[in-house]
Amino acid sequence: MSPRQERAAIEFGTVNEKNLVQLQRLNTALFPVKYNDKFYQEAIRAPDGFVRLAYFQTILVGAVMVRFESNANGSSRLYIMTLGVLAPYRERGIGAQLLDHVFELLASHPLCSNVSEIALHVHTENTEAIAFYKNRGFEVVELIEKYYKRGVDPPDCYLLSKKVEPRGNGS
Amino acid sequence: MGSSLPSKEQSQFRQLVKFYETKQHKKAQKTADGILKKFPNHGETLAMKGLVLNSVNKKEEAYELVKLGLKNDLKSHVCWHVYGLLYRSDRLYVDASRAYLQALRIDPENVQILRDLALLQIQTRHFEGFISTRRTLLTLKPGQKNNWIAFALANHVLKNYAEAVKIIDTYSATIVPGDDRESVYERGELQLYKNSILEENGDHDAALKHLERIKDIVVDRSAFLEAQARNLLALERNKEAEEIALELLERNMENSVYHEQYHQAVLSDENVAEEHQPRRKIELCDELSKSNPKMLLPKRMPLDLLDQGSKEDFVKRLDSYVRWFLERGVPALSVDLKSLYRAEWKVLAIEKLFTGFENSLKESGALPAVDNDTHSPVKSGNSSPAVVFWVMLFLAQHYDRIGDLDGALKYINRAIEHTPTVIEAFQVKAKILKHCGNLTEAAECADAARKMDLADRYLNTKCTKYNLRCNKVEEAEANVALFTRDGETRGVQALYDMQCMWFECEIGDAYIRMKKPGLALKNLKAVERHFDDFIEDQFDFHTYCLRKETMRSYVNLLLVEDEIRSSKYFTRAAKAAIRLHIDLHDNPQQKDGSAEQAAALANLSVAERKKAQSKLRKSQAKKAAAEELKKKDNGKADGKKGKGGGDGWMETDPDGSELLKGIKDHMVEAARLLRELEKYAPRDVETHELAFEVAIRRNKYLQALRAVNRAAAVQPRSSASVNLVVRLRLDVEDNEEKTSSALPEVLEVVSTCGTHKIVGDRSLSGYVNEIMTDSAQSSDTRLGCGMALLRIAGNENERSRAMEVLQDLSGASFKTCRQLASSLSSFAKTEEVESFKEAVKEKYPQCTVPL
Ligand SMILES: CC(C)(COP(=O)(O)OP(=O)(O)OC[C@H]1O[C@@H](n2cnc3c(N)ncnc32)[C@H](O)[C@@H]1OP(=O)(O)O)[C@@H](O)C(=O)NCCC(=O)NCCS
Repeated sequence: MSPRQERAAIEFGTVNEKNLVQLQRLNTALFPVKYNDKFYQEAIRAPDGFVRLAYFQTILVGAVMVRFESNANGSSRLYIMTLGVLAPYRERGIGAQLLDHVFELLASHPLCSNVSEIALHVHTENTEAIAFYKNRGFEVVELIEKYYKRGVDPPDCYLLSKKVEPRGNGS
Repeated sequence: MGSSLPSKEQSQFRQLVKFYETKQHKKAQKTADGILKKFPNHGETLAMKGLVLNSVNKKEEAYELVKLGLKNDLKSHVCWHVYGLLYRSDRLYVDASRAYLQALRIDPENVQILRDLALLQIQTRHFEGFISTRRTLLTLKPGQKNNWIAFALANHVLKNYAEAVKIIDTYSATIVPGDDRESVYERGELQLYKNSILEENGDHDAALKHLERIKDIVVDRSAFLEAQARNLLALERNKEAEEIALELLERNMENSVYHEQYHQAVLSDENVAEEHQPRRKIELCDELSKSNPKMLLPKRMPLDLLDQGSKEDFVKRLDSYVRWFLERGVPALSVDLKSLYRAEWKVLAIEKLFTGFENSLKESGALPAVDNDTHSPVKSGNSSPAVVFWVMLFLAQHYDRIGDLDGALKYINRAIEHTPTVIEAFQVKAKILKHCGNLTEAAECADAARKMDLADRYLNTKCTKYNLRCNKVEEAEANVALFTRDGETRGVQALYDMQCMWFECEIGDAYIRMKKPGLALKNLKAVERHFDDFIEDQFDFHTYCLRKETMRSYVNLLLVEDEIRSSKYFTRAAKAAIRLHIDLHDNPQQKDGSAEQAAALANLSVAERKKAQSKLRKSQAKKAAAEELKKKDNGKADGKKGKGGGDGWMETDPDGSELLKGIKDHMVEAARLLRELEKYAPRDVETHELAFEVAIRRNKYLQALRAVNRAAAVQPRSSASVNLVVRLRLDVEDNEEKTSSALPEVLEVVSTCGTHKIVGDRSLSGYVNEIMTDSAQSSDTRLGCGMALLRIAGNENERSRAMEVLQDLSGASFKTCRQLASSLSSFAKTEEVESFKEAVKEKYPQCTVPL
């Protein structure tokens, strides 16, 4: 392997109703799916830290957004709704830093004490992202056919998952 | 005060004055009424009551009562003083002064009245009166420090420098210096003021010695050093000046004045010949840069100084300079380099450098390596992806600036595609689209930028402006309201209260385009009123600054206020208003807004129409006069200020219809505004263009002549001057209809001092052609000459030759084209105007506005 450059230095930012459109522009560039207003309203109201913007040299280049989901059996998971970095800014560790942020939520966010899994859906053709997650401990657990309604061909995706040890309350 | 009253009422009267002074208007009125119950004719009480009513905006009654009070007690200085205060509150300074002087005749040593008079005198710059009032005040109250300082100021503004200095010295000798910070500061300030007087008097030697003496008490160290530097330079004590300038540079390396002083000192010390000066200056910059590698200005200045002989050096320096910006992602690079665009060869060098960057980034992912003998350290490895973006953004701005709009659009679209989250890119795109004449998409793009950061007032302002440019008034108002919402007032009144002049100018222009003259005039008038307010606002400073001894800033303020109407908003609004008045004069049917009338007029022959329009103007003038009478009957209900109750100025007569109806003669109103422009914007050729338009409509040929000569003096070879010369010849000198009615003396002057002086023995078209050949590079002048030729053209052949010139739009901005189209339609044949517009549409296919 060639000597790797240092990870690009980024700063994290938050989303609010004043800069929401910047997140929209970012997502439009990143994902074939067009998210609706409800999605962005959720982004604004999300718990502290559940949406993170990544700024590289003052430019917004990436973002992550997760959702807390509790299952019927009392366990719960963190679901990654979006995690992406603008194409020209990839492969400099920015995506990894966003994912690290998710791991940190698991380790310290009060809502996440019982979380036993991180999960996300990835388009079956998105080999770059699949490799990225596999290299960080995720596994493909399911192929879901006809997952996407429109704009994506084929319309299928994988469910990726990483099991984690729930940190439990107070321990 | 109230001396003719029995003692009980006398004390009530004193109470009344106190209530008035502490703005307890209700109580004041009650007290006045109490006295008046017993002594209904008591003059001073009547006058005071009037003053109280004036404060609660009951103007009519106020004037009535004050006048009545005065009539009842002509010998009372109180009544005269009150009378003056009333005028003063309506900004009728001359009348107010007169009343004060009358009061002083009765009570010559009344300090309060003397003070009020002095305020008016400095406000109106009546310096002779001011000095005498201040002298009296000083004699009466020598114990008050501000009486000394004000008397010094009076001498200063009258250029009695020695006297002013003496007064400050006498005063300073009497005070016991306090040790607290504030009094030390004030003492230093006063001494710096004295020093500025010495300098202004040209007594640089004394100024320097004085500075030496006050070294320890001056807090403002930069001001101190700056004064030293200026005086040393004036005395050509270059070595010392150099030292001081260096000290200043050490304090602030990014101040260009310090650099200039430093250069001047060194260059005159070394006696460097003119042609070697730029080189030497560059060396000095380089020395500074070596010891202060982080400072930008010493790196930036050589780029301006280098000439074409040092092209290689220029490119090298430019390269390392711009890398600094690119690597940090500072979007202001394009603005920073703007001054370089004056030299064609530098423009080419910039373009070559940046397209080189682009290619290198594409091929190797990095900027080209620099040979490291000089400035920038070589960075190995890949450039940041942001650099790619900033290079594309710069290239977009570059092509926009040189008028290659296709190139500009190509780069901005690529930049946005590369990084769609940078707000500046959308702003740049909006600007490019505007230059394409695509005002609709420009506004959409500015709105996109605004939405990306709703908390940013600047983006909001820009978007509002773009909306107004395409007449989207409602959107603009809703938009700008997002930032004016808090507070009680809303909408345009809130903007008026905030003195938001850019908005009023823009919306005024929009209403002009939309043919809503009332609304347009209302907004343009609003701008004019703000300037009246700015001037009025000085009153606060006259007392404040004298008390605080911040004399240097006070004197600066007086100078600024003297020129305040030369500010761009004033001249812009005045010019727009004059153009509107001209249009309303030419097409009076617009004023009543009746479509039928307009249609009826359109069907008439030219001669008949002129007659009908002239009739219409006369009847409008009559109506205006009647309105005025009615208003007078209602008293002075004009309500100068919206504050303190009642509707604001924008809220009364919101559509400006009253304002419009009140104008008897649009040419008189235009002439009034022109006098301001001629005073405050004499270097603006447009001033003289408009002066000509107004003069010719008023048959004032000498004024027309003067306008032409002034335009020619300001910009001899401009489109404006050429066209004015031609028009003076065609419309006045050779126009029988006009000349037959003019006085022979006038004609004599016009023909001897008129175009013959400028055109000489050449034919008119010979004159125009010569300028056209001379100014091959300026498309604006070339097109202006084309227009002039069309004016002159006597036959079809000449007309079509002129049209050929006009249809070559290379290098012409959309703005120029639009202005030309509008000028042409005032005299050219319809088919000529149409074919010109065709040419514009071909050049600017994206254009979304009617030409
Ligand atoms: C998946 C995605 C987020 C990765 O973002 P990224 O910023 O490129 O991520 P990283 O740079 O951290 O990692 C990418 C690869 O580059 C490598 N890399 C990281 N820093 C590097 C550096 N400085 N030099 C060289 N390689 C580096 C990483 O090691 C990683 O490879 P690995 O998985 O073999 O370890 C990005 O490709 C993306 O946004 N895709 C589109 C959106 C999407 O599909 N998201 C998934 C669905 S939510």
